[in-house]
Amino acid sequence: MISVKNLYHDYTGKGQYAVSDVTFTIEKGEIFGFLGPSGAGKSTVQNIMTGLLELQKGAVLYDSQSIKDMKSEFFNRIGVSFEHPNLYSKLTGYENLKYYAGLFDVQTEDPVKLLGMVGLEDAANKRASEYSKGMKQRLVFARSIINNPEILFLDEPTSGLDPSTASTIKDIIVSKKKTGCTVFLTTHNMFIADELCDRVAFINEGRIAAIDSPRNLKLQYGQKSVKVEYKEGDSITGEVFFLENEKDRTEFNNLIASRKILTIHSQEATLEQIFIKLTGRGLV
Amino acid sequence: MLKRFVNLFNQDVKVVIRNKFLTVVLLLAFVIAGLINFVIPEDVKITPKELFFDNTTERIWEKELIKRGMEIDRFYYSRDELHKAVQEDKNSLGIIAEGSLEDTTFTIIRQGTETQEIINVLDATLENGVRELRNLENAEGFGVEFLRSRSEPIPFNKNLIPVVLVFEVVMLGFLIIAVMIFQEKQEGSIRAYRVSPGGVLEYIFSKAAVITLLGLVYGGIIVLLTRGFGIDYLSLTILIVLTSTLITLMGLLLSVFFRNISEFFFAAIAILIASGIPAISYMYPSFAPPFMTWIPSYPVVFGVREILFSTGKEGFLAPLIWVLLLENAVLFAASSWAVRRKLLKEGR
Repeated sequence: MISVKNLYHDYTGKGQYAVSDVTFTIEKGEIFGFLGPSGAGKSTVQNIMTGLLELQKGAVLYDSQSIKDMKSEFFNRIGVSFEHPNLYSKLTGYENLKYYAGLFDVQTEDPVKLLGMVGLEDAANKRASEYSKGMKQRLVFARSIINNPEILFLDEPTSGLDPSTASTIKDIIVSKKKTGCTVFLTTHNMFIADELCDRVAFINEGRIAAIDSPRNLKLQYGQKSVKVEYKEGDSITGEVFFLENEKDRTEFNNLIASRKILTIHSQEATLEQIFIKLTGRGLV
Repeated sequence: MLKRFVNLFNQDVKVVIRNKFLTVVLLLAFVIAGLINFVIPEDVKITPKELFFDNTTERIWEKELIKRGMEIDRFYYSRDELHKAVQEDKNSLGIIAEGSLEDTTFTIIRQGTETQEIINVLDATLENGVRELRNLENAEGFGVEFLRSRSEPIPFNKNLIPVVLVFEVVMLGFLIIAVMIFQEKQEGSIRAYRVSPGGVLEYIFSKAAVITLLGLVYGGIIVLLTRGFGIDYLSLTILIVLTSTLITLMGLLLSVFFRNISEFFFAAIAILIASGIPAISYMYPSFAPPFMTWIPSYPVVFGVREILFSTGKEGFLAPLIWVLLLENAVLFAASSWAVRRKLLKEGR
């Protein structure tokens, strides 16, 4: 189990905290989403959890052992995928993976197999500098799982990917979870969080605003609504009605009776709408 | 750790080759060896060229100097001709000899920029020439003793080998390690290394080993092509290895504190100029203020010269190796700390 307790971090040294009193736990085998807009403190928390940033105040515990006491062996157990692709541009995709595999003391995956998993087998011998952003992103993701990590830290793993490739990456994440891998997923993409995460935490301005499963958050904070499109003269108009609201319900019934209805869709609140409701700002 | 070191070393070698660093080093080594062997002369006259007008009876000076090998085109046959020639060649002096062998008088036509030392040497040379021609013994009566058996004078072109060897190894090592570090920072690959089990020691050793290898390739080519096989290659290898590691550690220590190569540039220039200053002492050995002898490259360049052109001086290598080992140890401790605290950790 990963336990983060009362975490604070100050980059300036002047008491201006980028992260304040952040507390959460992650169960083994869980996919935990960390949702927030840019600058909310997501990467700071992840960097402290991976040991990239020094722990200043609070605690990060892996099965009760502090990150401060972790030796280099700890890194055999984790995998990190960065938001900005960070590869040796002069090395090929294969060489990048081969080199990285050589840094671990545990059994590693075959680079060729990993390249195949992320659809880069044909570009294996191309230099990373010749890769597109999406290809680099996939290579960085493949690198993060080369040591079969117990804990996987993923920062925007599907950013810049086409829907088909993003779907492949999501499948790999799910398959990792099935093998017992714990996933810490940092993103501002509500759809991937909704689709993959067992639980999500909303972080805004360095503070946790809410933590729960996407379903519970929707039930707790969302409102059921219906979106209706109808014809008014020559133009098409759309309106949203919250049916739990009596006034909206009456208006909805009047509309159905009096207008030519083109489409009716029931819709539930998205994580983004809930985020906005809780923090007063969007995820992007 | 050994496995990781080999892995990092392989990766660094690939980066060095693909960045064309090896090509540059090979090219530089062959060009410099070619310059030393075929372009730079063995003897360079650094004093002004003397031009003569021998107006003595029977031209005794002209005959004697031509007999001793002086070129005939350095003699003129009137004052005006000599004046004109000295006027045209700014690196020349005119000498007019008049009278007879017993009472020769010399007039020196100067450009006005000559140092007093040059005039004094010329004065002494002419005086000595007069005595020789008159078959007189040296009135001063001085003798010369040598500390060791007299060694062959080093030709001017070959005398440059220690300079180009030591200072190029220093410059290349310093710049290449900086480029490698800044490339890793810019690409972000260093961030990936930070979250791997890879440690500080193998990271530093790998970089130092690759740059030392480049230094050995460079030095080996130059020395082999200019001096052949007849020198102590083991001692030379030890000095190149210790100098390369020293400068790699220095470059590493400095580069971790800068964000990019532009910010690093001015600090690098300062260090490289400081490291190159001992070249002045090497070319003009009488100029060796105490501060200069403290610069690490100072004893190395003289040590390399002793290896390449042995004067029979004994026991110079061991103290030099100890000094370099000590300097390496200090810089290794400092750069390890810097890499651990600044390169492998982020922010505050």
